[in-house]
Amino acid sequence: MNCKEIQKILSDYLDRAVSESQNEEIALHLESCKTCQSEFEQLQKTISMVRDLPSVSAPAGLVGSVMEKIQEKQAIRGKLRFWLAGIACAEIVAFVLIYKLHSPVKIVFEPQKPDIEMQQKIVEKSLPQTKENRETIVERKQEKVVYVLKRDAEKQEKPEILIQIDARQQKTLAFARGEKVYKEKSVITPSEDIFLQRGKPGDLQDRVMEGTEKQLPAASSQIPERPDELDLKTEIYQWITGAGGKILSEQQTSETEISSLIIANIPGSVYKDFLENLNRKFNVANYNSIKAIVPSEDFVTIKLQIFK
Amino acid sequence: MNKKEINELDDEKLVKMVQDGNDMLAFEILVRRYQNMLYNICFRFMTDRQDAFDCAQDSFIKAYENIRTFRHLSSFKTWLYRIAVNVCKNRLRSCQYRTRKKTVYIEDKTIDIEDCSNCPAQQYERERRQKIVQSAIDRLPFDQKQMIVLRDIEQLSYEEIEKITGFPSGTVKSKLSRAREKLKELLKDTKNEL
Repeated sequence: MNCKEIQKILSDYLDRAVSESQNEEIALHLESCKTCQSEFEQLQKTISMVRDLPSVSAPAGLVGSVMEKIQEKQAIRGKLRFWLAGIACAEIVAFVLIYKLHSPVKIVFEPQKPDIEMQQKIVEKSLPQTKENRETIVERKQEKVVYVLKRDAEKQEKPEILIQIDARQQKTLAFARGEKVYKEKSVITPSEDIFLQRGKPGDLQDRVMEGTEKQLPAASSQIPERPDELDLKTEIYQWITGAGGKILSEQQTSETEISSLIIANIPGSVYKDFLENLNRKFNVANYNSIKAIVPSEDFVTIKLQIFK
Repeated sequence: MNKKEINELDDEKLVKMVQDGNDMLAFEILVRRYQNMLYNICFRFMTDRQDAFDCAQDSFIKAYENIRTFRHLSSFKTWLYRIAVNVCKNRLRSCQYRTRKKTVYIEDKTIDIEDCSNCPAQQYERERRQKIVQSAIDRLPFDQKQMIVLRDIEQLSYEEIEKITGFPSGTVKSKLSRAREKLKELLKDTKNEL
């Protein structure tokens, strides 16, 4: 080893942290090399000065201060645990409240219905007493009666019988198109006349031909036009009023399949015949499920759904 | 078990008592047992009594808080040393300490010299030399400083230093060699005066 290498491990040599062979080699080198010997002495002096530093004793208050701080920290930790538990409880309560507020059940405020009676009175008073005005007032009073009837009917909330009519399958048209239709026997009841006499003349003729088959010529001029929806409704209105019934409401719906919704009252005694004849003329989709109903009251509310 | 009996227990049993039931008395005995050792090492690192006090206090508090993590793989003393070294290291790194250190050091030195003006000449000279050595240690980088403190002041074995610092044996030797060389250079003038 040269001087540089020797000087590099002089620290280890001083601590006796070198191998036996290194120890002997360094000892021999130091005897012969004054530079390395001087370096070694300087190092020895330095370490000696450091080791001479006195041990500093801890001040008297250290133990007390440490124990006091530990107890303080424990107290703070206890309080923190208490507050954390409180915060956790508050979070649970807040979560429950937020969940309740955002639940699907919502309160809906319906707009108040206009007071038509009051409006009419105000209008009547403001109008001058001419003949035209009087007629207008009478008309409006009639409208009011209809409105009150409708409103009362709505209020009564009687059970309604839902009748679903398929406007696409008007059976009278089937005859006209030359299809084979067999008329059942003994289905025409006395009350049927009430309704049928208001139907088209051809219909009655076709229906009384029991068990016969009628083949009409295919000429397009002879095929009657399919009645539009307005005609259909007019016919149903006539049937209802003819049976002693009363139209309560009629509305156009925006649904894709149902075009009209008619609510009416008909006498309970004619309900069965009315339904049978209706099914004979049109296709009552739910005929089987409602034909057995026996109305218990004088008047029965029916709800006619006319499908497109 | 009374206080005297507890006082006679070894470190391992006292540590287990603290680990099992947060025994404050057992921990207090450990603090009393190692307070001088810990304060001394902190003072050698910090070169200031108040800083040394704060570091020693923080080291004991950290030891108490983390005593459940102590697995008896090394001695409690070595574990305490490791905590103290880390506490001092973090404090020396803090900006607050760095800005404060310069003024405190100058004031402290001046006061000490004045205070020793009436001491006998030999004692005065010894204390002056100690002050110069401590200031030279203080000027070392932390890695070299910890080697001087652990090996030459605390006189710990290489194995203990390895456990405390986490450095392998070769690194400890080379860092110690460099630290001693640096310190030798810093104290060159002082040695010539002596």
